[in-house]
Amino acid sequence: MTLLRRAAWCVLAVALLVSIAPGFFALHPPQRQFREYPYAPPGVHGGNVFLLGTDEFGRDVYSRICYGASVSLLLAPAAVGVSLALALLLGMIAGYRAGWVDTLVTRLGEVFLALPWFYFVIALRAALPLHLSPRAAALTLFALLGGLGWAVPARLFRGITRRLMSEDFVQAARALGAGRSRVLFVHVLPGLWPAARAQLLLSLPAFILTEVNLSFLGLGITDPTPTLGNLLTPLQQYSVLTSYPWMLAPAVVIMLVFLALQEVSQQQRSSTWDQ
Amino acid sequence: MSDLAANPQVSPNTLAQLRLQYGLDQPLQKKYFSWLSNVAMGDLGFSFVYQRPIRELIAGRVWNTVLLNGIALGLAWIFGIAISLAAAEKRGLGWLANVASTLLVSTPTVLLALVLLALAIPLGLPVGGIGGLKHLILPVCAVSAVWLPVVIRHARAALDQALREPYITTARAKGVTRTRVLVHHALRNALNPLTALFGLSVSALLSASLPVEVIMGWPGIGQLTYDAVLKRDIFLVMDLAMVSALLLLAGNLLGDLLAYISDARLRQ
Repeated sequence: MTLLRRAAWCVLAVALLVSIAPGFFALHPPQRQFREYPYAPPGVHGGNVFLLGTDEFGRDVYSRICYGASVSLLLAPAAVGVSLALALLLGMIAGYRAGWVDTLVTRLGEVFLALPWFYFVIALRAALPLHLSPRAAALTLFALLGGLGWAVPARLFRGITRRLMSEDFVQAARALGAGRSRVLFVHVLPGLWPAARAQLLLSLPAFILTEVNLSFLGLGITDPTPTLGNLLTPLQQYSVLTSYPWMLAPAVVIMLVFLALQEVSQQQRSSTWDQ
Repeated sequence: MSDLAANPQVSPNTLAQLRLQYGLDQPLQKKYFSWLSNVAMGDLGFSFVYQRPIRELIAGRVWNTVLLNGIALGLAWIFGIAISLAAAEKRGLGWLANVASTLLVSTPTVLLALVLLALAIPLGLPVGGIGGLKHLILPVCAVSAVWLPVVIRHARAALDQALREPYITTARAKGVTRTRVLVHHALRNALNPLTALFGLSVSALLSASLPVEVIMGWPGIGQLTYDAVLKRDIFLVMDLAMVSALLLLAGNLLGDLLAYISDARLRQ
């Protein structure tokens, strides 16, 4: 394992730890306003430590990143899990049963693919009230991402299932009298894992990015609940962007996580080749 | 309509009249089919918020999006392939291309758009809006940066694969120059798997151009969609989503055409 890969795993481990226990890492409550110190640069101000400075209300940016990461970096994997589970189920069923079930799933997937992803998410988001409570917004995002993201992987899984169905071991299992669920879950599913793992590493950054984009535009989870996306919203003001560089810290966190994910996914790819 | 119903100043009579006027008292399937037949005839309906026909609203915007995405798409593919060709020739450049594309692919579009905006003043470029060629530079950079690293990655992989084929060795042995081998023999064959990515690239760029249009004030359909969502003009959002789907379809068609042009085997 190279140094870079080790660093990537470290970044992901730290991100996971912070996401699970933001309260342990944060120095201040995320909503606490130190009104005497708006836009304070990183440092100690009046006995309060601001590792990454403060925002316009004097809230500690570092603590908000900890809590924001916990929302953004846990929501996306959960949604990816749902969408991949859906994709596996639908892909396997479509691949197993030719005929109208296959046609239905394939055509439905094509409808999902006919719309550019972000327009699709925004159009469905528009059907809901503009202002949602943080909990409702998080649930909405989770449902949207999990419910919409299955189309691309399902197509992939359907193709692999079809190929596996004609393999000898599946034929043998069927000849021995294995039922549909046994064939699919015992014989086909293990063959789908490598593709599912690769897809996981593709979907994860895409989902994190969608949450970031939506929250940045104020259509996802909104202030005062911090997420990595809405922490960037103040940067829409030109003066904030040019005068307070520490406000860019959430973006740096996102980039670090993405870089680490890429490094790890490259490792995954080369290890599957070695096999 | 539910906003109006909640307003105590709007009488039930007015509400009933409005429902009748806009056909909201009709059953769902009838509403859907009347919408469908209107859309098929080019009537996209009326925007309540803007108080203008939606067709006019979209027509004034859609070409800006096509322009932005078209140029960004072209630049991403041309630069991506050019960089991959250069990288195939020089190893050091390949390393640089790797690092740059990894960094670029990890940069969220919103961040890139914001940083480019911050650079606008020092570079003497206009901040947002539409006008001459100068207004295009920053949005095009932000949008094409989404796909550039993807092109570089896939093009490099495809070129690597193609350069290992026996016909490359044959061509070199026959005394064909390196550049000619690279462009005429390797690239020609490497293009084939790349054309499959074209439709995907249109989808990715359209998605990325929405936040870029909002941040940079580019008056395209992305910005209009965002405004429509904020102003709760659901019909406009729906029509815009449909237009974005049409643009994607057009992009896929273009991709198939390009595949046809670049691959002689498909023409037989």
